[in-house]
Amino acid sequence: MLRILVRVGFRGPASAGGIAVALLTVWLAIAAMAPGLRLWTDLVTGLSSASLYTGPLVAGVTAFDAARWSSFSRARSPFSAQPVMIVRLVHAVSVAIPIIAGYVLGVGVLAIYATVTNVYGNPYAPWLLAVGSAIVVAIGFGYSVGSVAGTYWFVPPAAALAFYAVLVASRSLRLSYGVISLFPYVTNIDSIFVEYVTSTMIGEIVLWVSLATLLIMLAQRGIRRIATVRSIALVAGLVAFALIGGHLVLQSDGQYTVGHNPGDFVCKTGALTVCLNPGYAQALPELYSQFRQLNMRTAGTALVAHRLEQNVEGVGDDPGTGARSVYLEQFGSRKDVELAAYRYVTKYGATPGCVSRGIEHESQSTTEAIEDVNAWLSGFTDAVAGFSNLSHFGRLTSMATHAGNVWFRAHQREYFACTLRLADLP
Amino acid sequence: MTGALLFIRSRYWLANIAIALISAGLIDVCGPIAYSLNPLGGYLVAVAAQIPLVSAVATQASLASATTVQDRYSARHLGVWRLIHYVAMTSVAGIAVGLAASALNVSPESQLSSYSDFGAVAEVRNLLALTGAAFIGASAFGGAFGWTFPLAWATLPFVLARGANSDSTGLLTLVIAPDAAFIPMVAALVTFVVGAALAASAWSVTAVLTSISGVAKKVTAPQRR
Repeated sequence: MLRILVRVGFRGPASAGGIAVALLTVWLAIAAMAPGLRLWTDLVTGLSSASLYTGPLVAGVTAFDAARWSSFSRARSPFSAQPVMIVRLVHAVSVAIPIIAGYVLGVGVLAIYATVTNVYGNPYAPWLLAVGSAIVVAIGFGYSVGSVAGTYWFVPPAAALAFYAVLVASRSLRLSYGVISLFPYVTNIDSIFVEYVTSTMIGEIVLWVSLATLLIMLAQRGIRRIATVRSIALVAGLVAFALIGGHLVLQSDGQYTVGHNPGDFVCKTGALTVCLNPGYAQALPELYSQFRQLNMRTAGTALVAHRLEQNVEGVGDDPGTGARSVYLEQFGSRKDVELAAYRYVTKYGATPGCVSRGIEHESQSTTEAIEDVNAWLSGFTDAVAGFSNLSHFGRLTSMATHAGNVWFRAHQREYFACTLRLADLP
Repeated sequence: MTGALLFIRSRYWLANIAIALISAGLIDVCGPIAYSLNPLGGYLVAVAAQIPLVSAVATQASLASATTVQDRYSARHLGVWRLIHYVAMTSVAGIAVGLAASALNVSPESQLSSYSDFGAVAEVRNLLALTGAAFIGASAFGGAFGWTFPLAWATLPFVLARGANSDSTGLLTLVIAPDAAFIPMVAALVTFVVGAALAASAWSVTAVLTSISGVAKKVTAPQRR
């Protein structure tokens, strides 16, 4: 049986489709890597988003293959020694094998690439399986369209575009996240600072594989309406599996991850301690020096950083005792480190006080003054790029470190109370 | 006349025109209509930007004749007919999507203000680029698989998880480039011209190169006295 599958499967458009899936998987996964960092989580994110193209591609290729085979073999298959359903399912599997092999090959190449280039972390197996299952649905969809529609000129592109349209529609319509996650395209972003919701992924795998098998079977039923007790039981079983899978996805509202900090740090200690996840370790010297500079400007105030631990912004922000959070997503340039410092000052500086007072009570002068100070302390000049008057900011940045610190200490009360005005600035 | 009618029927011009009109309708649904319902949204403009893909793929797929062998031995050279199909169907689709997109007017205050400069010019540019790409795809992967290349081009801005913002040339993310984007427009025109050459030569790169070298020889050959 395996020999037949290999002989039938490893030739024709399906094999080319498999090679395309492998190449696209590798290219788009590597393209998704954050600048300056080498993380498996980024590769998984890119690999997931690739299925927006690989899904329609596979649907079109399998539609072509199924239509061509159906047309050539329709007259012959009733005379085969095996039941027609088995003959056609064997062909469907033989079309699927090179495509799935292409995905597995792509993941394998990524694993080798990750090992050779010291990529940090490990992929989460259910996530990879869920992405693979999305491709299996595309195979099932394309194969059923090709089997039913035949060899018309529009069949392969129509199958591809229809599959793509379904994916786009699922994201464009205002559906709940749980319902969106029922569609075979994984748009979640993987990160080191998460815990995985395995039930969603298992649910998707069960749903999508059942759905793909069901689509292929029903397409055959459409061609030869012979209902046997065994095939009806099989269809009922697949429907039940699909429902269970769908229920699991809806139950967790399609969530793949929840915020979580593994607390796995490498630290640089000196005037202060900066701790980052080992995957981000190459940013440590620059981040340390950026916060050292910030500490010199904020010395003697509540904004001084003593111990910083990398964290995830929003959910799961839980630094250790006596530590504060620092957020760093990428390390492509100095700007990324400055942004991390800016996020620190907006979290621990005046901004929370301004927000609690209500934005309507803030004058334009206060807003600009606080932003000028935040941008100056952090070195993140993009924060004030849109301001029409940069003279105050210019005077802040031109001050010597000590003079700046003296000024900031003198005005820290107004700054933290969110009553600082442009007139208070040097 | 009979030959022309036969060509028009066998290349599904009516279906192509219907697809162009449906595409135009979809642009209005995703663009102006959706935007009038939610002026702050504008997120469906990204979908409207990709809709010329449907017409582009239809133009190419309908030219992938089921009678390739007969075409090869036809009494007339079909290159000009194929070129007429390419230009005529693209023109019909261009007028349809251009008119539909002329009502596209995304406010700069929308959530996705990056689409505020996206309009009819960009839609027609996308159509030209994707149609040319479909014929390049057909010459690379076969007449039944011309759609693979333009589909990839149309989806790239959304699958390049981080690359979309760093695409300074706007070539990879052409479909969402604004009206005034210069390099994407040049790329679209070049792609369209290449597609035209491939369409006229039954998507054979060899035939295109042979034609070019033939013309070059004629131009450079010394005149006989």
